[in-house]
Amino acid sequence: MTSLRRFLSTGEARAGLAMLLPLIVLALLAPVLFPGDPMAIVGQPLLPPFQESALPLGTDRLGRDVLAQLVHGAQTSLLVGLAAALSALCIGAVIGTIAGFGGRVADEVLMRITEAFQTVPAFLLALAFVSVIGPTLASVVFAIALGAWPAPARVARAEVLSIREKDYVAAARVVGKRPLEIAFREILPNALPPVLALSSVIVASAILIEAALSFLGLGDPNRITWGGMIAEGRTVLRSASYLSIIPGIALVVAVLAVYLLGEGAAKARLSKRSYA
Amino acid sequence: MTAPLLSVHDLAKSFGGTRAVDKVSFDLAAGETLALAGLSGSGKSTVARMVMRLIEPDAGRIDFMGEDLTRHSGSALRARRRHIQMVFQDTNSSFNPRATVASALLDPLNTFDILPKPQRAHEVRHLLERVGLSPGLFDRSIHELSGGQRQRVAIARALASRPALIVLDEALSAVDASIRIDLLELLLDLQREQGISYLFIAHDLGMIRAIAHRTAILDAGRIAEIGPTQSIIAAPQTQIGQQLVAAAPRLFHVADQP
Repeated sequence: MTSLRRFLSTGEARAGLAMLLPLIVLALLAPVLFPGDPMAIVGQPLLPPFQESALPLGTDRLGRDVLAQLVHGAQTSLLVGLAAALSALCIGAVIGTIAGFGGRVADEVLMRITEAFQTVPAFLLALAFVSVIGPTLASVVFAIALGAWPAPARVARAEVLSIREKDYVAAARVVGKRPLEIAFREILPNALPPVLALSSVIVASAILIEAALSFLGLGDPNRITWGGMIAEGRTVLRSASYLSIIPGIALVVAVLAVYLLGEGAAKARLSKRSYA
Repeated sequence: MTAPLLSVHDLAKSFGGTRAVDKVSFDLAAGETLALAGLSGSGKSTVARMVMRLIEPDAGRIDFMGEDLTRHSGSALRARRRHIQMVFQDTNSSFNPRATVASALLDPLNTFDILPKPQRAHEVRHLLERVGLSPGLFDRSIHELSGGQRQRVAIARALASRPALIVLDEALSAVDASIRIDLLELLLDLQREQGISYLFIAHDLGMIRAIAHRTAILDAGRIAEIGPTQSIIAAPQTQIGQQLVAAAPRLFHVADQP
């Protein structure tokens, strides 16, 4: 059975995909489905959902289309989640590989730095970074990655420490490969599977941190975000709770979908081991 | 008298206070096979890995082609590795799990810059034929091959850089007896054709008798006795030599099969 089929055969993966795929499709089609500025005023303020067919999820307190904002917000949430996870995995994998392969001094120095980052809560680190650098999409992505890389770094290091003792690494030295080539071409690709297993947790937490930053007004002001929408609805929470509940549901669905995909991948790996 | 190809002097290595190798010295001439025999834990694989500089010796010299290998590191050591290659025991773990036959054999050709690039794929096919494999295996994943086929690819990888010496670390111990005899014959053919020297690490004297000109028996990290293989087998001078010979008759029979 191929890895993909094993993955798709798990209920978690299918449920995760059923939830995430529509979000991805909506995010990709946002400029087609809702062309123009999603922040434009299109109707009367605080129109409740399902009152007008042209505005199925109603409008916010300025008369902006909630559905258009939700779909454009999906773009930001998914983009930030994936980009932050990718950055954290890359940084973590490189640092973990150098720590595991580069000898005792490199290992000690890099692992102490990793521990220093792990002692600071990821959200506080992101908050401090964005406050200093300024809220742009890139700074938000980097700020989230800054708190997320230590876990993949530690997993990568542990894998590299085990793999570097294998004969094929000795064989690579015997055939004249350079240390960097051995570390990044021979060892790292084989150390990646357990590191990638962390990706769903990192994506899910990145989406939540981005939403929390936006909620505090530290998201990119030029982009619609779900966290920003929730914050926007907070002021009219009693009279128009749907303004916070709708993006809140979207957030829960996205995080749950990513988590389920991660669970599906873990189950598929376990079933592969039991077949082997 | 010509200088030996490999000359090891007073090689020593300890692991956590335990002396694994203690003042081991031997010479190996061009075109000769020297076997290092001994029980498990006698230090023979540690000697092999120190000769390859995969393990750093605590003391001693490793003179290879007139140069002390222990004085070299980095690119100077990498350049010398072209002439001294190794075949490992475990055919599963000695190849990257993602490797194909082609990538495994192209690695030494690329790193040591052997032949112009366009000719390297042809050389890979030639190497496969030379070790008795079909060139059609070129694109196959290493882990689709049988243990015997993988060990032939490992020998081809060692041959690719046209070395003067190949260290065979229990290279035939993990394959079936019938395949072992084929591989012994292949190694003997290659030695006759190309004058390669072998440092042959093994624990059974059956294989050693079939391939080695001289044999050194290691015991607790020291060389207990060294001499022509026939003499060692006919009249071992030490207790450990006698033990190894006593354990071997059944294997001599297997090795003598045509």
